[in-house]
Amino acid sequence: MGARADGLRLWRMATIVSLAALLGLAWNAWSGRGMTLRANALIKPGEKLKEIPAAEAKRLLDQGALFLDARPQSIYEMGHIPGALPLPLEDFSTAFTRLEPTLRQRFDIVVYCAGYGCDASHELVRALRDKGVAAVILAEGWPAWQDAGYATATGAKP
Amino acid sequence: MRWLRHPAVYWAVSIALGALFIYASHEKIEAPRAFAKAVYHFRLAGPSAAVGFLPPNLLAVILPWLEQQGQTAGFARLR
Repeated sequence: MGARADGLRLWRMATIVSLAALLGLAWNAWSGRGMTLRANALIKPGEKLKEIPAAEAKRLLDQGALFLDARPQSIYEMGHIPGALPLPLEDFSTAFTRLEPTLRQRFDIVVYCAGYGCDASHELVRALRDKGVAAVILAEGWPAWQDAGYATATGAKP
Repeated sequence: MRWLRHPAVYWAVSIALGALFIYASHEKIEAPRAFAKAVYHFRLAGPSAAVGFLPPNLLAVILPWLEQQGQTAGFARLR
C-alpha cells in the first residue's frame, strides 16, 4: 500500500513538472512575450550590443584599450581592472561630462560591471551610444576577470 | 491557540499563500527576460562559457509555471 502511494505521489509530481515545462515552453513560443532561449536576456531582441570574453578583454587592455567601470564608486575602490576609469551608471551625467573629452577620442572602449544578472554595463553602453560613443561589454564582468586570474587594482586611482 | 487548528484557518491561510504565489508567478510569466536576469544573478545554472544561456533561460521560462502548477495542485487537494 505504501509503495503504491509513493508511486502515485511520484507520478503526480512528474505530471506537474511536465505540465509546467510544456506550458512554459508553449507560452514562450506563442505568447509574443517570450525570449530566445539561447540568447542573453540582458540584450534586447535585435539590439546590437557586443560582449567579449575576459581573454579578449585582456588582449585589448594590453593593447591600450580604455576600460570603464559601471559599478558604484565605492565598489570600484574595493577592486577594479588596472587602468579602468570609474563611470558609475548611477552618476552617469556628471561622470560622462568629466570624461567626455577622453571618451570622444577613443574607439576601443570596454565596459564592465558586477557580472551575471548585473546589467549596469549594458545600460552604460546604451547611454554612451546615445551620446555617440561606441563601446563593447566584458561578458560576465568583474567576476570573469577575477576568475581568469588577471591583475586587479584597488583604491580611487585607476 | 486551538483556533489555529480550525479547518477554516487552514483553508484561509492555504488559499491566501497560494494566491500570493500565483500572483508572484504571474509577474514572472509576463516578463520572462526580467526574471531571467534574476536567475542569472543566483548562478543556479549559469550562464557560463561552458553551458551558455540555455539552462538559466529554461529555468526562467519553466519555474514560474511550476510554481503556478504546484499551487493549483495544492488547491485541488484542499479538503
